[in-house]
Formats: sequence, C-alpha cells, structure tokens
Amino acid sequence: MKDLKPIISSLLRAKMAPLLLILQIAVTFTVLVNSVYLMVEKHADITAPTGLSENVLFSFQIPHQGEEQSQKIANMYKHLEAIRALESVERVSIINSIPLSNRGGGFDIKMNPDDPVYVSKAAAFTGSYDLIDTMGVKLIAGESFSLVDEEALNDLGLGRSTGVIISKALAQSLFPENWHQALGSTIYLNQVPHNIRGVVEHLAGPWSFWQYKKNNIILPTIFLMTDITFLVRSHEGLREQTMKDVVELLMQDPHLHIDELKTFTEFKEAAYQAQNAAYTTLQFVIVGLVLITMLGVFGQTRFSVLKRRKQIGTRRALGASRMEIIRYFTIENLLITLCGATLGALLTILANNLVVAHLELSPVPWPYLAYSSAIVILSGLIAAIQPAINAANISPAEATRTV
Amino acid sequence: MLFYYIKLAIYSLKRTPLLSFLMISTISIGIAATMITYTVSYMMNKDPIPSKSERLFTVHLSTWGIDNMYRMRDGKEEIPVFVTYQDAMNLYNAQKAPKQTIIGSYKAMTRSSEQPVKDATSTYIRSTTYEFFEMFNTPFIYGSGWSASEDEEGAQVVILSKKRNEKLFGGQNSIGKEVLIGGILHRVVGVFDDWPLIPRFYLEEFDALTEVRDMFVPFRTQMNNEWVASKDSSIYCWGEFELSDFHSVINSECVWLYFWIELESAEHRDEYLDFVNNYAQEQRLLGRFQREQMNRVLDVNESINHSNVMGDDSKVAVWLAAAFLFACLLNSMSLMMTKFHGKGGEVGLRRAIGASRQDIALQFGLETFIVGLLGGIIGLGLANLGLLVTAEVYSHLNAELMKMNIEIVITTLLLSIVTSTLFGLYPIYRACKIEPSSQLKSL
Repeated sequence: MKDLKPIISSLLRAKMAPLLLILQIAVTFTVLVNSVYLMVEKHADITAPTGLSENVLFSFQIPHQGEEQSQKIANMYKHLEAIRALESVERVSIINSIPLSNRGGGFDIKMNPDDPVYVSKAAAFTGSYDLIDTMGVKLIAGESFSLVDEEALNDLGLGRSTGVIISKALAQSLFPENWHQALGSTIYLNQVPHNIRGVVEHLAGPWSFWQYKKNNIILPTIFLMTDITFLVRSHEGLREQTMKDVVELLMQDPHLHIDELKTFTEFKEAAYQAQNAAYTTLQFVIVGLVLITMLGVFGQTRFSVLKRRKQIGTRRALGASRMEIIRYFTIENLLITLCGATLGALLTILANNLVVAHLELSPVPWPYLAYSSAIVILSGLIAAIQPAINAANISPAEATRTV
Repeated sequence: MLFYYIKLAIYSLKRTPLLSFLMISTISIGIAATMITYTVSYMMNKDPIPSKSERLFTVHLSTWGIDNMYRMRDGKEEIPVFVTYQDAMNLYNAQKAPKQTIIGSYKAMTRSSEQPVKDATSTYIRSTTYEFFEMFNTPFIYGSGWSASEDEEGAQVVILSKKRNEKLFGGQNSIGKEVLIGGILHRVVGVFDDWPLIPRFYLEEFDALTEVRDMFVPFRTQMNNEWVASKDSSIYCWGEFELSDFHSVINSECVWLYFWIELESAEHRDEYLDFVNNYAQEQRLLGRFQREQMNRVLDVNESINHSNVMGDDSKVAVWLAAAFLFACLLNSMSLMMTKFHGKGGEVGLRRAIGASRQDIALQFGLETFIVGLLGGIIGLGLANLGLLVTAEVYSHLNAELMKMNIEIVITTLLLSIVTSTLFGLYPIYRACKIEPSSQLKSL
C-alpha cells in the first residue's frame, strides 16, 4: 500500500488525462448498467414459462362463414372426433385463441360488482372441457372441468355457473397475502359472478406485451366464432408427422379450408421477436462497451508509461523489482477504474431518477451496479496488463539516458 | 498554406498509424452506434404526412358506461381510440367535415377468379370509405379509389397492393379483373404502389409499424355482407353484446372502428370538437354517453404521441447510444492528448522559428478535422452495415425504418466532424501553450 501515496500525487499532478479516463469509464458504466439490466429483463421475458407443453402443440383454424349454428356444431364435433382418432394425436381441443398469438379477449376483474374500478384485468381462454390437459397446463389447486361443463355457444357463456379456473398470477393479484384464498371465492367478469374452482401454475396470455399477460382465466365454453380454432397435442416428438396427418385427414373434404396452421413454437417466436431482437442487440452493445473501456484504459496506461520511462528506469536502478513496477501501474489503473465506476454509479442513480420521472420504466435495481462494476474493473485490469509488463521491461539504464 | 497544413496533418497521422487507427475507429464506432439508433427513431418520429398532419384528425368518444371505465392510464381515465358502429355512421352521415372516413377491418379467404379454390389464402382486409385514399395520399399505379356512388351502394370492388397484384395477376394492369373475397366476386378498381407510411398513424400502436394491408374494400360492402370484424382487429365492448352476431355487434356499445376527418385548416378543429360534444349531448338524452365527457379530436402528431408508437425502449436506446458516443469521444480525446504530447518537440521547434499559436492551432485543428471526417465516413459505412443487420434481426418491423435518407447521411458526417473537433479543442489548446524554450532545451 506504500505505492498509494505516490500514485495519488502523480494522478493529481497529471489531472487532465486520468480525469478524461475516469469520465469515460463513468459514462460507459452508466450505459453498461442500463444495457445489462435491459438485457436481463428481456431474457426473463423470453424465458418466462408459458405453462404449455410448447413442443407438442400446434393449432389451425377452420372458417365456417355462413353456416347455420347447428351445422357448425355438428361439423366441429365431427372434425374433433376424426382428429382424435388419429394415431399420432394425443389430444385435441377447441380453443378461442392461442396463447401468445396476439389475438384474444380480456376482461376487467372486480371482486365486487359495485366497485367503480377494476382490481385487475385478465384474458379469457375458453374451449373444450379438457383444454387444460391439451395445453399441458399444471393444475395446482382445486379441480378441473368435466365433460358436463362443456357447451357450445355463440358467446363466452359468462352467464353459466360452471366456475372458472384462473392462473396463479391472477390469484396473487386478487389475494396478495395468500393466493390460496382465491379458491372458492367469487370474481366478477362484466358484472357476472364466477366461482373460482381451480388454479393453474403458469399460463401465458394472448399478448406478450400486455401488462396483465400472466393473468388468465379458463372457461369450459366452446365459443362459436366464424373461425373455429383447434389446438392439437401430438405425442412427444411427433409434431411434424401429426401436422401432416391432420392436414391429410381434413383435406379429404374438398370444401374445407385450413387456415393459420402453426406450431405453438412459431407463435411464441413471433410474439417474442421484438424482445429477442433487443436481446441480441444488447449483447452487441455490451461487447462494444467493454471494448471501448479496454481501449481507453490501454491507451491511458500506455501514455502514462511512455511519459514516465525515465522515472521507471530510475526506480528500477534504485532497486525496484519488475513486480513492483507492474504493481504500481495495476494499482494506479485500479484506482482510476474505481473512481470511474463510483462516478458512474452516481450518474446511473441520477439518470434513473430522470428515466423514472419521464418514462414509464422501472429503475435499475442495486445488484446491477455491482455486476457492472465487476465488468468494468475486470476489463480495466486486463487492458492494463500489456502496458504494465511493457513498463516492467524498461531497463534501469534508461535512467541515465536523456530522453 | 492550407494545403501544406493538410499535407502535414496527413503525414502526422501516417507517422503514428496505431494511434490514428484507434482514434478513427473509436469515433466511427461511436458514430455508427448513435446513427443506427437515431435513424430508427427518426424514421419512427418524423411527420408521416407533412402536407396534412395539422389538418387530419381522429375522433375519440367517451361512450363507456356509467359503471365501467374504459381503462386507466397513468392514473387517469382513458377513452378508446375506436368508435362504435352507430357513432361512426352518425358522424359520417353528418358530413360536418369536408372529408371524413371510417376505417374497419376483417379477414376472409381470397383468390383471383382464375385460381382454383385450394389456392385461396386467408387475408386481412381493410374496409373503408372512398375518401380514405385522398385523405391519406395513397399512391396509385393503376386506377384509383372507388367512387362515392360505389361506396354508397356497397359495390363489390377491391383495391390491391402492388405486392398482392403481383401475386394474383403477375403485376400487370389488373383493373376490371376479378377477385373472390369470402366467395364473393369483387372487381379490381385500383392498385396502389409501395406505400411506406411510417408510422401508419391511422391505426393503433402495435399495427402502426407493420406493412399496409393487401386489400381494401368499401366499408358498406363489408356491412352488406354482414362480415363483422372477427379476430383480426381490436374490439372492446361493454353492456349487452354477442360478438358472433353481426346485428348485435353493430347495435352494441362495442368500439372497433377508427374515425378520421380532414378539415380545411387546423383552426376549424374547435368547431368540429363543438359539433362532437353537441352530438354527445344529443346521445346523452337518448341514454348513451353517461360518463363525464372527455371527447377529443387529435391531429396526426398528437395521435402518434398518444399511442406512444415509438415505445420507451427506443427512446432509452437513443440516449444510451448518445452516451456511448460521448464515451467514445472522451476516449479519442485522451488519445489526441497522447498524440500531441508526443509532438511537444515539433511544436517547440516550429514556434521557435516563427509559427504563431494560431498557426499551430490551425495545423492541429486540421488534423482533428481529418480524423473526424474519416471517422464519419467509416462510421457511415458501419452504420449502414449495422442497419442491414438490424433490418434482419427486427424483421417484424417495416424495413423502411432501417433506411437512411440524405439528411441523416449529412447529419452523420457533420456530427462526426463537429464533435471530434470540439473534443479536440482542449488537446489543441494544451499543445499551443507549449513554450518554445521548454522544448528546445531537451532537443
């Protein structure tokens, strides 16, 4: 630590050059903290569990424009029957909209019909009684629907008394202290009471960008829209084959159209394309930031070595070992990066307050400051190695020469 | 003299190739990063229709029920950007503005009459009134919009995008040819050219950056065929409604149609708002519009801001990129200090044989100018490369967003030169201060 005093006094004397580097590191640090935070956030978004058996699901629509309702229902059950009979199909259900497909319906949720403002919002998935099993969603409390609950209607069947199954996230937003209380309670969708009969662990909503995307409700009503959506679950690893089988089966009827035949994986990729793109970009940004920091540190250390060749030679001549010279420059460097990181942390906090005040974004949590400090200090140390070794190699004879 | 200094500057840059390379590359990387994010946000933010953005307005109405609020936003009550069928028709029929249009949407299986049934593809279709094309300056290659009378009778006519015309009719003039939409024959009356309207301001935010729809048909035709918007667009409802029943939807309080007007000038806006509020009062007497009235008429730019098309992420991205450029410039500034420090002897000698401080400043200034220029040119190349990659990664956005125009190219070069010269001022000042005597002693 006896190096510290001369380092500080030499830094104070040089002023401008180290100050520039400190400023540069501080700014880089601010950008870095935000980028790392955004990246981790995007990563959490992309990898959030959908709750569905993603790899075995696919879906398609059959348009029924202009058909009578009874005809529509008969056709739908005929198709369900035929698809279920296929060997490669494990399950098939009707669903109103596919999670993450960007199409769906949402409701205001109230605990009391007279409340002026909703407690939360949620999207509704509605379809065959066995929809939960087809999706592969895990029921963690209460009970599932049975065949008697299923009915095909021209609306969501909100007036029916089958009860609803909700996602755990919704239960948590309704009962923040203990979500288990949700089971058996009554919620109001469009002023109509519904008893909560079950809770599922995870279930992704229709819109990946929606604030309430984790809040979802499942109903056992087959909603007869102009297009009927089928969700098919194949046996493990047989999705491609199953898709072919289903198309072949349905194409036997020349009047039938199949629309939007897509795997669930495709829906998910499309839904998260923006997040994925941002994630990739942020990775590049972070690499760029680290490189710029290293370049700065490298340049500065080289400069200070170059300027002090004579002094280094003198120290060596007076008995300083190579290790001591390396230590000197490493500590000097560490000091600068530390100052930079501290100033950067202050800047980040300042920027954070601005961001939170002007944009609807959440502030960066504390641990990210620590992560970024680690990145900056580490890259600083690496960048200083080569110039420091260079300095150590200056021969003591240098002291006797005039520069 | 100037040429001599330029020669000197180039010679000096060549003499320390590593340092010059580092300076130019840090500047160019910083410039590239900034300009990529700036280009995207500039293209998103620029006025999509400069000739009319002051005169085009969308109408938002407070139609929600007394017991239910449409939604909360920033702790305040929000009203929908869509209107109900009945309000759209009432406002349209009132013809209070010189031009007004209703914008709806639906989805159907479509094919050309020459194609076999199995080639039909499901298509998202835009339905609107005849004024739309003039109001929003749609560029036509063949034909034009349909006529007012065709609009009124709900004629089976269709306008195709250039892309769809290529797919269905090989790109030839297809006016008069026939397209089957949902099994019904429609006659082609127009084909519009590439229409890079960014953002597509007449739509809600998550549609605003996508490509234009491939088929346009009269709104009346959609209504006559009872094709209600199914799952292809947003529809928000309260009260009594049955989504799968056409008559229920059009008589309900469901909102799903955009309503836009074009006025003679921005000054007529208050007049129109008064009309809208009067209309709301009339409806209130009939039992609708029971909430506190927040009806509004927003022009193009207000509407874009309202829907926050740009998104907070891209605003942050521009700031982060600018900070990154700042860090790069600081870096290049310290490199310049290193460089000029090494030239102390040269400065001392030149000063001693009669060069003034201004001469030294001019010479070094030219050197930083050249560094900035080279950094700008390379940065421009890198930025364009980066935009190509960005367009690839962000393929869900309109590719027009990732293209520089001439203004941005000039801005890039200027930014690079100005900032690097600015950040070179201090190192130059330091270099000029060198006293000849201090240097000559050690030579």
